[in-house]
Amino acid sequence: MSLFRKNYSKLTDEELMSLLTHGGQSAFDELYKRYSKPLLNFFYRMLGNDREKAEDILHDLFLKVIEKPESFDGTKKFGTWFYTLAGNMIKNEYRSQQIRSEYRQQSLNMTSETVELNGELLDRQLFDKRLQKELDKLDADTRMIFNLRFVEEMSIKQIAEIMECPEGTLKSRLFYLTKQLSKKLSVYKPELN
Amino acid sequence: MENISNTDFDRLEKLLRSKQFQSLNAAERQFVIKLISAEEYSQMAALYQSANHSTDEPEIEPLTVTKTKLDKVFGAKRQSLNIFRMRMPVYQSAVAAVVFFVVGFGVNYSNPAQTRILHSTTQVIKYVDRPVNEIKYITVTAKVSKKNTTLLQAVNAPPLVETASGNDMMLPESNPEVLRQQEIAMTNITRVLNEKNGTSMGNDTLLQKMMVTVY
Repeated sequence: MSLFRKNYSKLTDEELMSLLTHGGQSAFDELYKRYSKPLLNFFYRMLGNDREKAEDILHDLFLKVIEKPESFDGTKKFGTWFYTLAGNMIKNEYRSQQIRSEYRQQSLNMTSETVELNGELLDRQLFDKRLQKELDKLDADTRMIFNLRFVEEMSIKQIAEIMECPEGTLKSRLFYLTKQLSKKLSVYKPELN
Repeated sequence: MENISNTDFDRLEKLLRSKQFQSLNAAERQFVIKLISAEEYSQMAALYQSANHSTDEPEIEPLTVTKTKLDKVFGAKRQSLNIFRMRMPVYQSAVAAVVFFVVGFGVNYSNPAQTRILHSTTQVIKYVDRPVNEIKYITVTAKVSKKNTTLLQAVNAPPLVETASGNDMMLPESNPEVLRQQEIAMTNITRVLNEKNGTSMGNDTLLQKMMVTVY
């Protein structure tokens, strides 16, 4: 009966979510396939490269989808809603575990490992470490904005929906953030191009 | 926080992602200078370009154990959902409907005298708890001495005298025997009235008056 089997890869996220609500295992598999990897990496970066925590949060996030699929706000795009959930979980994790201080210490330890590198690679490594350190000093919201824009490469509109703030405000925040960060990182002057 | 218009931000970001300050044409430079200095532009451009490069880091893959755990939870959830979605043949549904209908009728007619509630009012009975003084009337038999009995017989003895009105018959007051009888009667009354144990006459004024009247 493969002729009548649904091609889940062609369905939209919202359609898959509707099928999942009615107990569709294949719909769940497809959503997991689409979002598990990018979200795991998003958590991984946001939580100071802690893989175990990132996996735990990924598990908890999908668990929420399984247990309460009806909490999906149909007026929003699934991706936006899902990242909003993910962002809230990250904020909770920040509050509960004070991960920032842990990661700061970890970053300091890692800096010594890059000494043997040289040239452009060394510059890049140092710049990345310094950038992470500066990001680590930011509050959860600002850090999330940076990651969504620069790492996940989401549109301003999508980030504004996730962060639940007007686009204009988001743009002002990004402009101010990049200006401040670039000033702090100017010492490294990585010649990347 | 610095304000920047929506269109300016979009245009500036596009330039920051793609060009170094030296690569900007005259119009673009003019636009940039209105917002930030050349040095700031170079710093920001470096950040934009390096931040994009930092995404080149190798990505990690989710562990299979995470998916396995989730599948178990999903399976359990699906099972609970399926209980309510079990498919039943049409004839079974029809039979079930008929059975319920008949049973429903039976229950309805087996209990014809149904209680109808007309008023649902709660009645509150109020009463006052007060002490009741029970009056006991005890016949007091006064010990009549022989002397008294004699006297009483004597009282009955004198003839009745007709009064001026002609209606009442009275003993003549001047009769010394009558006076004595009255005196004795008064003494007895006083004695009865003063008697405390076993009588309640002390509180009963009506009875006292009656006795006085009788005498």
